[in-house]
Amino acid sequence: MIRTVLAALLAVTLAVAARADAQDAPATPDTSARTAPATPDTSAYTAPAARADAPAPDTTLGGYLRTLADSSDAYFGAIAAPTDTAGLDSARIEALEHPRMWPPFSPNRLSYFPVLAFNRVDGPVLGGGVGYGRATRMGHFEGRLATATGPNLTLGRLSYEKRLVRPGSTWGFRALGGRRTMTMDRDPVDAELSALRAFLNGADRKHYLRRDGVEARIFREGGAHRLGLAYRDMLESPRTTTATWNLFDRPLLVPGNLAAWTGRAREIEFEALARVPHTPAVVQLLHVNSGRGLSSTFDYRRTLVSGAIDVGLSRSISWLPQAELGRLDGDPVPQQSFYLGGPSRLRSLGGESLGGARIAFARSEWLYLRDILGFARRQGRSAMPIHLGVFAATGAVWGRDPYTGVTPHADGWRDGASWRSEAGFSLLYQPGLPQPTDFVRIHFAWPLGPGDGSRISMSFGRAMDLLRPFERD
Amino acid sequence: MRSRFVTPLIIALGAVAWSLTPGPVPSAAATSRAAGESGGPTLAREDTMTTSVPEVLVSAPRMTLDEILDRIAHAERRRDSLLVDESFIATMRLMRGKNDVAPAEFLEENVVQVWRKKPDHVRTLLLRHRKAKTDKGKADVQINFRDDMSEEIVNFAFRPEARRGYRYRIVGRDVTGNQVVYRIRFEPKSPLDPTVPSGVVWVNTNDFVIVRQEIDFERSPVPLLLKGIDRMVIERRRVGDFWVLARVLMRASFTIPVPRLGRRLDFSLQFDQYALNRGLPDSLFVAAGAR
Repeated sequence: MIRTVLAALLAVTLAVAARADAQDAPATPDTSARTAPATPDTSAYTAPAARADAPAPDTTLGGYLRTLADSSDAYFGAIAAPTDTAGLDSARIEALEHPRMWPPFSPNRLSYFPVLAFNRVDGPVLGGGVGYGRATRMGHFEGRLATATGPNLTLGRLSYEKRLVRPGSTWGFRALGGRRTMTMDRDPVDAELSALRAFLNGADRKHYLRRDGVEARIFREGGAHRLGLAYRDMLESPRTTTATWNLFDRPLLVPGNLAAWTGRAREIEFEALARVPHTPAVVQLLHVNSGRGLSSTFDYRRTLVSGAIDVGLSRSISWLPQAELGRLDGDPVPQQSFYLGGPSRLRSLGGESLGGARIAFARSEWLYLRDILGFARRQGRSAMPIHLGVFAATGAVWGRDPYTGVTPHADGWRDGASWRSEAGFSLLYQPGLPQPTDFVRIHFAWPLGPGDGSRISMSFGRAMDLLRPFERD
Repeated sequence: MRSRFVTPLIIALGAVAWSLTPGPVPSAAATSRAAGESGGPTLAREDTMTTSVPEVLVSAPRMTLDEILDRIAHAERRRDSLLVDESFIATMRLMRGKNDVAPAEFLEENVVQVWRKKPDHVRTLLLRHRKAKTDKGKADVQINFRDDMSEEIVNFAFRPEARRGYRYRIVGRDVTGNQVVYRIRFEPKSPLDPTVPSGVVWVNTNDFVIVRQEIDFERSPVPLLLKGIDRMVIERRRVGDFWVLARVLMRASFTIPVPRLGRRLDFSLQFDQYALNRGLPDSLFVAAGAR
């Protein structure tokens, strides 16, 4: 609810600020003309100083609260003045008799947005989308259509999303169908920054595949858990590099593209997310099952167990240990393999540098959420408060390598060579948008033990990036 | 009720004064006088009592914070369960300030009539809309109400499911008439989310309902635009047997001067003319836009 108020405040700010452009435009119908014809009488909003002749102090609860309210009045001034109720009764009768006079706020509005992306298999992706409705009402419909100008391929999708919000729980349903270019690593990746890197200097380390088909997901989320079930029926096919250029004309960091296995993937995904009672821990289980029973081309079972703890050590320091274990059984499909490297896993390695059928990863991170440059600023609060993070991580992938097709570490996790460790620090900026816990981060990571030296990378995403977020967070 | 708290208070004052004053002490009043006159440390002095009060050994345990939190959650749940329908007039007002000290200037006001009925009916009717003379823009700020009557904006930090995310402590107890009001501070355990606020609630211990709340944000939720939320106050008032929202007041400062707004925005939501559990007919909600 507080977020709703904050969102409203932000919306008000943007809406009112947007009016500045309309100032000199031809006069549009002014709804105020339909109301009380009177122009706002700001004299009505007198600061409530005129309570000086109040009676003797009231010692009851009401009097106590009035005293507190008076202090609020004194602070807020005119905005706290009581509502002028004169004429509201007749306005109510008029409005009831003519309900169409002022149409109620309609949440079902068309919205338009551009679709822009860039990667080395699609090249520039140009298109647009349209949305209608709200997920919490009749549902949100969305359509996107774009052209991947590299291979001249049409991409697009139609989706429908519906949420049923009840006190204590939320039910959700989402269905979509279409053609998309997806990353080979199906776990969370920061696609937006990756597209920017690819466009600017070709520093795109991700691998891509094409998916054509439909998927549907239903979930129920309570205060401390979420259970979800999804079904996917998609034709998966490999992609090749078509765009070798970038803005600064740098050579591509990864010129080729790992080939996905071709076939129709029909799978069922089960998702469970839970807050551990009486602790700040959250655990997640994702299990995907695909097999001949579902008439799928592939036969695999992919399980990923993750956990994270958000420990507030003070009002400005947070400790975030995170860990995950995953295994892929059955067909070693590259698009279902686990990948190590990149901002959400090992930051001293490039994204998707290593792959395998098993993964183990753990990171401990401390975030200092005060402005570390605050001492150098003249004013109290800055628009760009910079925070500090310190981290150490270790991880390994083993099993069949999707890049080479061989199994490099026969002893699996027991082979010390399969483990990589790192330490480093991050500079963080929390813009508050689009999600409150999103961070823009610049990481400075050093490998511990053998490695390629230090690495600087940038990412955008949540602090607890190994977990899917709760809808209510 | 009053004697329950006054008597232990006098005894406590007497005990403290006795411990600070050398020599035998015949009565509480005499103790206070002696402490004051001797020039020694005086915690408090009761000079209105003319009779001595016999000592009473207080053995009743003080209510723990957990018990208070349980009672608040229970009382808020009970309040919500007893509300079947409600109607009220809500006024949303916006004012701007050119800078931090400039007087606020009127920007916009919307007055709406709201009817809500369980399980999920809500209807909002615009009654009055005013804008500043200088505002020729087309876009209007519209407010919409949910069908939920639990007033989450008041009790969000005190719901059972939210307890894991906050630290609580009692910061004061005030005796008002024959009632005790607890002031309880709540702070998020994790500083990760800047939209999760801290604050203080005033809880009336007669029915353990939150009667007032002040909210503060440790950091700006959107630092690029908002310098911060300077102050946010939420007030309730009693209507019949229920405590209901009375006002939401908020002042926000911007990091840069926003066109038409300046550096500061004052926002208020005021609620008047409540009518609770009056048996609103379903037909009222069968109208355009109503659910």
